[in-house]
Amino acid sequence: MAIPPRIALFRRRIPQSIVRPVIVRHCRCFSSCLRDAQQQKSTSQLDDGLSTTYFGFEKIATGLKEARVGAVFSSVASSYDTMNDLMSLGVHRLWKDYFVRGLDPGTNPLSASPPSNALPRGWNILDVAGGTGDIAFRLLDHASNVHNDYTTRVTVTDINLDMLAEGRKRALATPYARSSRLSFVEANAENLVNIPDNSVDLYTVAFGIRNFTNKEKALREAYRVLRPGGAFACLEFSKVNNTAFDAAYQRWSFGAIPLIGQLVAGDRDSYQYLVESIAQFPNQTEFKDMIMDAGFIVPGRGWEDLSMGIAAIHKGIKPVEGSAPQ
Amino acid sequence: MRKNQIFPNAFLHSSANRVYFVFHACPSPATPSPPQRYPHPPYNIPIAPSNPPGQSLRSNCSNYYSNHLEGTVLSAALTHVPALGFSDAALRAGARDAGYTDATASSMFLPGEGAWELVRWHLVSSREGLGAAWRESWEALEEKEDMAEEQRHKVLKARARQLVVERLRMNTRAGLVARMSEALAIMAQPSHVPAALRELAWLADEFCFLAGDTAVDGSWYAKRGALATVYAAAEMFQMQDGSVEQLDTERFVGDRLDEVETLRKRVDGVGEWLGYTGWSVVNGLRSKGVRI
Repeated sequence: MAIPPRIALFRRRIPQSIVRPVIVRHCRCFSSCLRDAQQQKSTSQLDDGLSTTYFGFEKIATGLKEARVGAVFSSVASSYDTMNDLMSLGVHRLWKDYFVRGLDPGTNPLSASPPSNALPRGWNILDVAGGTGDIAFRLLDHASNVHNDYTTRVTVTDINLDMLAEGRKRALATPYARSSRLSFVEANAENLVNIPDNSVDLYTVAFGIRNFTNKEKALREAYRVLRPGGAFACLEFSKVNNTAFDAAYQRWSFGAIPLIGQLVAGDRDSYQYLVESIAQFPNQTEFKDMIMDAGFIVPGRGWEDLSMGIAAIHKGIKPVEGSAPQ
Repeated sequence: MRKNQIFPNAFLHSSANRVYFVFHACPSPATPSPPQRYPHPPYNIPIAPSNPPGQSLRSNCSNYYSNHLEGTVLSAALTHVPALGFSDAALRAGARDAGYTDATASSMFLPGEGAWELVRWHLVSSREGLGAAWRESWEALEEKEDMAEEQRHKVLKARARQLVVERLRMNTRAGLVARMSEALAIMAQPSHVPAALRELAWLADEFCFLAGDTAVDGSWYAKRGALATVYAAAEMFQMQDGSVEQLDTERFVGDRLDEVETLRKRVDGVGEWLGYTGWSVVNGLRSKGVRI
């Protein structure tokens, strides 16, 4: 996939003022600007039959992406929340709250009608790439407070042990730390070895899927673990629809976010990767098609834009036997 | 130059009369238009009696749902509405009945829209269920070209009454009469008002279509407006109706349609008088040499 022209255009203008001065001082292994110089060499090296993927704007061998992403998240784990607040001006909390409220997890034990005992009590939720537990705590809070459901349980998986450690630490401040309702598991979203087929009611992934090396494979894996009728829900950065707002947003993300990363977390490169990976992620329609290709039924339009498309919620439902999508 | 303006005027008037005559007094069924252009299929084509909900007779009307997941779950959920109301709880119960899970129900629609989708599903599926059975039992009106104008109106009114009553009975049969106030409250939410009104307009259009009305003159709007008003009023009445088999509601519908008929006659009379007087004045002035 070629770099979107919008980004290319942007990169021509911005580095002069903001990015360049930093780059010359730091030796960076994956900055977009250094990559400009190295692009010829690196792509030709990779063209000899090796499969490649994008790491931000950089094209790297598929096998390397996992480690590189791992390095990014290990480095941001401790300052994750502060940084999110600074980067999104606090809006990420609203998005996550809205995401969970929309999923409405949990079943009131009194409302489950007696004849349909097919469902075990409570939902089995899998929160993928949810290391810090942001979504998991909200899901459990919603089930307990809204539905009086104290049996819904969340399994948080993440590929990164540092993020999981951060989540465990935070869980101590919640009522779920020592309960069986919350567990943290290290797992690769493309190969959820510990999760049996057809066992999950709700699969959530919030701001994680764009870091996956092979998104299609992860979606197929989500399809496998979900039970028929189970829902796949994804909260992820997406594409802004409004041109004028998009220009401002691109300035903010490429100009301010790496700078904030450098000032607050002392780590510019990781945050440069974050914004590049956002720009690189498919738009709403493409991602909806990816979800459908994995076998899901996509209800309605298939997604819901948040903040004019900065983020979007995508949902898919695993069809029940005998009622395949038309 | 002024004279030129007189003639187009007169011509327009007479042509307007002709249009009125052609379409209103004797609609010509000789060449049924192709269905792609004309929303109503020709009446003599038999329509399969089993019309699954979600597939309208007229496919351009109501294809809201991209796949049949929504239809399956919503149909199942409607059976729970008498007990649980138009609510997420009913939607979840329906999803479980259809073999899906609670997660399906809560992810299927935009947050908070589940109840509204249930209401809309009831409106759409009832409208589409009004169906072909009625039309088959009725002689197509255009087969009787010699039918007098007043006679046509009488037949149309009788059929419209039957259709409105049938549609109201659908509420009763589904056990939703006690829940209709809830549905009304949901429909009255500002974000749902446009879609609810559109649905009412489509229902009125369905009444006219099934009654066999083919007029395409100014009365097109008047009839649909009148039927929509009568239906909405009758539904309000039905919510409060405690009579046996809701006979009062049926009487109410009849009375309102009679009123519409009276009103139509009066408006027609006034219009005729105004037209006659107007043209008399114009012609009188012209005879005096006024250039109009």
